[in-house]
Amino acid sequence: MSTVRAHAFACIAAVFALAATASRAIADAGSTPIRFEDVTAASGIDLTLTSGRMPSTAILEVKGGGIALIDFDGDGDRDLFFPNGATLESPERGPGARLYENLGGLRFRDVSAGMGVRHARWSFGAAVGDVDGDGRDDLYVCCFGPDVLLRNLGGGRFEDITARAGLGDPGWSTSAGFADLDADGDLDLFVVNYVEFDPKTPPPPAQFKGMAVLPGPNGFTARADLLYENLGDGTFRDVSEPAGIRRAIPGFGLNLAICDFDHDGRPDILVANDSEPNSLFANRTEPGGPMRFEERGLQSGIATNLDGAAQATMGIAVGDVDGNGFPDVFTTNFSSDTNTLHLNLDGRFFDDRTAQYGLGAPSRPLLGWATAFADLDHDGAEDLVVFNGHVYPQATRATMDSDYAQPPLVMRRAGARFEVVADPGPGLLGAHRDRAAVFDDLDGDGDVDIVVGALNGPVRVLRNAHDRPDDWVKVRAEAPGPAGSHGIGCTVELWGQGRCLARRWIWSGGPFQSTAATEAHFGVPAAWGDDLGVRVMWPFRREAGGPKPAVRSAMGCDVRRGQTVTVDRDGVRGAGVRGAAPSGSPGSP
Amino acid sequence: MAGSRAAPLPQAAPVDGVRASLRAGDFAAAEQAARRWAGAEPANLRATFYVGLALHKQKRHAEALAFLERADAAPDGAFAESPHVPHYLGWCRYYLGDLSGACAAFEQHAAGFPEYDDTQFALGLIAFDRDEVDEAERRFRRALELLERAGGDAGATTARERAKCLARLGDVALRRGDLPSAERDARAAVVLWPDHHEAWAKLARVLDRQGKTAEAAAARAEQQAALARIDAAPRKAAP
Repeated sequence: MSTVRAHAFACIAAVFALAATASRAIADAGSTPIRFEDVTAASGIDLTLTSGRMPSTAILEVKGGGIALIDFDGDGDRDLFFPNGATLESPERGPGARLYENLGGLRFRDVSAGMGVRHARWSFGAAVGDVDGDGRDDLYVCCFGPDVLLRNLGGGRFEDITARAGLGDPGWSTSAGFADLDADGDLDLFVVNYVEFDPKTPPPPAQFKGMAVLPGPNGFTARADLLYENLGDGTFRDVSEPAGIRRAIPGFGLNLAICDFDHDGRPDILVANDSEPNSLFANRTEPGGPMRFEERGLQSGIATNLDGAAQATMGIAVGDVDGNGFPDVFTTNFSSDTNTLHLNLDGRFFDDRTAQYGLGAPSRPLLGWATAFADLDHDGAEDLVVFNGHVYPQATRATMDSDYAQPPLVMRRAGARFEVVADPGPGLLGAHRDRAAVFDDLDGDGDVDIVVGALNGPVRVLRNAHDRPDDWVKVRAEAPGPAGSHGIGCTVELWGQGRCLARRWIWSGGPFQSTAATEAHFGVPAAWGDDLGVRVMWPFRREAGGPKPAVRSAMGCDVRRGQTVTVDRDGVRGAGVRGAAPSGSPGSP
Repeated sequence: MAGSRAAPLPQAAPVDGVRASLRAGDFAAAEQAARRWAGAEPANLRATFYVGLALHKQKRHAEALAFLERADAAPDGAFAESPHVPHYLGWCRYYLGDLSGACAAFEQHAAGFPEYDDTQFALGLIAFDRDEVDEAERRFRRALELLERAGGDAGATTARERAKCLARLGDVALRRGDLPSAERDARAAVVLWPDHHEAWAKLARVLDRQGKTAEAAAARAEQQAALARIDAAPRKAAP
């Protein structure tokens, strides 16, 4: 046996040796390590989110509060909105939502008192979009109880226009997203609903690994998702039935990604269902026609994992992992399961390639929530962050193979696979009960920072300490009208050396009960040179042969390292244009 | 299962009770019995092993690991099952996400028992997790070969295990983009074990990918029927 053990030891040593070799190769390539600092104390955000009481006893208490990126004051940076929760005793009277103005340098100011409305209902995710075309970001807040639409009046003030807008479904919604789904120029709304829940009649406990635990979602009644058409006059109409959303079996919805998954120019809707197969509503709407969707989650392969199992599916990240031009989807899941990477093979089919990219095993002891792809070290490849924390207060490694408080999982893209980053800096170490997060360059220094909220715990502001002025490019897509606001639905490509170097999608929905960044961020390693261009494809722009993404490009010298460019439907605003559009792109249909 | 190298006489009463509970699938009762035994004989590493095994069977892998690591410290042949402790250590480490540790344990076990099919299967899973596709195929085929060699009366009892190997070979084929082979392997798996709902799901997926929509729908219906038959309604790891 000792010989065998020696062999095993040799194998482990060999693995470490290989890892060391890989690390040296990375260092030789000039990459800097991923490093985050916790700057909460100096940020001006001193906020503990409320989500029931500790320890959690009901499913309503375990999802935590959401976070939204919103430029409420129109100054070009992203501010922060926290819908916040409440308690089982008073679900309508929580401590209230909070709005923080971004002052720059990762400093924020609480401007909640000036909002003009006090929103105190138990809330979860939020969606941001200009619903009325006045040029200001409005807020849709997902609640336990009637949802709320807050119209941005300017000057930091909001008004509740829920009833006037024909919204306010009374169920429990978790996430929502705005996008122009029918090409009429305004933002439609998709609301993800979870379960029917009455705090007054809690169901009996469930069992997990031999222990009595809080019940759900199995055993509850799923609540159908809702699709609202923006009628352009300040009101919305529920078109879930005629548009084909109701034809899908209701799932326990937690999250969504509105993105053009099949590359036909029309934004599709992926709904992450807890314990049930995910839904993929392929957009079949013809411009000018009624909204029409075809549910093809199971057929496409994204509904379940490789083994055909429905997973918990809390967090969603979208990125081009294999570089084929189609948006791939990474989802986070329950403990003793794995997170899952679905490669988008051709726009029609997804394939679970979790193992291929090394993303399965490290996630087994963890229960994942918010997640995002982002090039954290600016080596040109997107890395991956997952925030974790168990739902069961009894969870320990001994009892459930998984602790209640868990550290974030940071995975760096290293060649063909991802590898765990053991020391991502003090900001991403330590165990928490994390839930929602947003990922964005909040201090404008060119790297992606993070704001994360823990369950009944403090909000943390995490600064990316990459701090180099010359190895990034950021792209904003903006066009007149509400549908052009923030370029929702756009595909953004960074070009150089005659090829597409990297690709991002500006999608609606978010990491988990939060909003995805609307600014496309690219790390730009030295090897990519200086002759860079960006290419933006807007949704629903017809070309010959049917609806395909239109191409408006900004090529050449004015897209420089360390620059943020804004691209509208006709080209670049604030930067010059040189040369012709590239003739093709990998993965273009 | 291959034989052990050394087999001291078992301490009949406690081990028989634990094993009876394990065979009956009452793993909680097995754990209780093993804990009583281990409590009465704290130095008995065989009892320690059975506590670990009963916990492992209840999917409490981290707790099981502590007991199995203690049992693994026993000298070779200290108790009948001791040569197989690394096998269970391997599974616990695998389910806790420790691929390197799992691989080391399974390779240790395979060195002593190269014809232990489940260890070959486990090494196939680890290779697949590492995207070592050729190695994964080799291990799954080896496990299948060992199971088929068992044949005879054991043939029926190994049908499930053979079906699992075939389903995983289908995964390998799918990973390579070889859809016909993936379909062939998934079909063979569900023939061997019609209640293998995972294999039905894999078959449906590969049929969809080939444009065989009606057949895919039928396979998906079979998946649901299989789930119903084994009383495993569609669910995830969470309750």
